[in-house]
Amino acid sequence: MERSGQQGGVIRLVEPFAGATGGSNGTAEPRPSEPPGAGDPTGLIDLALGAAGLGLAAIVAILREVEAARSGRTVPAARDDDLTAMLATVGFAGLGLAAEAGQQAARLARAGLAAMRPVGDAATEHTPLGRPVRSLGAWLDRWSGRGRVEQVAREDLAARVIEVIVPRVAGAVIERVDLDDVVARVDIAGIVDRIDIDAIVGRIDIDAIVARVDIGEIVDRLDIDAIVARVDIDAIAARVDVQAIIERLDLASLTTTVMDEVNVGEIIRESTGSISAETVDAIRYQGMNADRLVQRLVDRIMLRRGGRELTLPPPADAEADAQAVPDAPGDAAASVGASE
Amino acid sequence: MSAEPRASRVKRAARRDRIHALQGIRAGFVSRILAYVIDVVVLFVLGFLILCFVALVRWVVTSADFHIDRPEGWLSVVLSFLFATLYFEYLWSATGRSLGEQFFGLRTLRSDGARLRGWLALLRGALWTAFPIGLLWIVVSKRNAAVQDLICDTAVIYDWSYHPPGG
Repeated sequence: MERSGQQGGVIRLVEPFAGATGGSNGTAEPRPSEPPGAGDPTGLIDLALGAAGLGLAAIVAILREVEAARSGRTVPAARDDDLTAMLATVGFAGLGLAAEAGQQAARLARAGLAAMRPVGDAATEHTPLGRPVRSLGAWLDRWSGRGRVEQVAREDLAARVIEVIVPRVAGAVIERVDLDDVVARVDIAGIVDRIDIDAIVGRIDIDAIVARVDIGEIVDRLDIDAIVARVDIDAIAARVDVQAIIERLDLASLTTTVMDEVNVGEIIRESTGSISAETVDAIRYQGMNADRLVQRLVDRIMLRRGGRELTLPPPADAEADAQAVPDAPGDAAASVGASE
Repeated sequence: MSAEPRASRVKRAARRDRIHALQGIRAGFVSRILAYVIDVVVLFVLGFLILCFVALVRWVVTSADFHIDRPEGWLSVVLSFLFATLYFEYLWSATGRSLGEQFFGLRTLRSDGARLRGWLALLRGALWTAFPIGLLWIVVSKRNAAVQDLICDTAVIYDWSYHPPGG
């Protein structure tokens, strides 16, 4: 025993490394963690007390329902002075005491068992009491095993019974429940009021959604030709009152304005005038400029101030000037001046 | 025409306004001396054509060979002088402008603006032909007058417009 215990200790030390090196021999499997309270009598006591509490609460509720039904009231009022409340108070007080007592007892039992275990082990090993104790244990083991085997069959039977009963009970419950009434009790408006639409909308990233939309693809899908084909251009044109538009336009004044802007006479003269005419004009103009240049130069040399008297008195034969008509090419500029 | 750039059109308009403003103003030296040069060239061409015509007539009428004869000595001078004088007199009294003046847009008038006629035109033509040096006075004259203008009381102005002959 001592050896095997030491070996077991050695193996347990090696186990983590065996897993790492891949040398698994079956002993490396981790043991499933035990549920809390398993093997601890305190957990069992808590479980029992909790169930008792629930049962007590159910009994109290049923008693109140019964009492309310008997007195004709719909809503049972909680009163401290009635029997049910007293029962509940006493019951929960009892539960509290039981819980505390159970915990204390469990502690004592743990301490006692811990103290008695070596003594018990020694007694069963080394005293004549060992045989009857062991035979008692074997007897318990046998019956326990048999009970477990039969328990499986019983659980199976119970499960089948539950399978049959639950749908019937559920059907009966559903039949009793007035779904319309349930729905009517639900305050839809209140739920809606609680929903903060603005916050929801605020979370939505419209830009991101729009960025995902491929406008080009949408446009590609559009059959513009088909759309245009549906448009009745003739109908649109028929609706347009061209006559009214023309009546609105003051064509006479428009034409006059255009003709004022465009110097038709000059255009005709320039278009009919030859290149040589323009050349002659240019030479004449250059002559004029040269004349003025020489005059200014000489006037400056002669220190003549006020310039020259170059204007002629108005012509005596005014008829001759009245007969003046545009000259042949080359007199375009002067005749333009005469027409203005 | 409307396609030409706006700047160019503005420039043309400014030039036209300036030309218009100078119409009727006494012309300066450069225009008039150039017009005179053109007249001289024209006179030489016309004289040569006249000599050609005379030679042609003589070749047709007589049995002599065709050759252009130039008058000799004083005759040549006198004939040339008469021809030029008549040339100027005729054109000034008709339209107021010789061919050279026509080219440069000038017009010769009396200083009161009336058309130059008769003896006065003949006198000015003679002086114009005989003393072209009188043109130099235009340079210093306050009224752009040549010596001939001072003698005949005439003036030469810029006048690009057309006036019918004899008006």
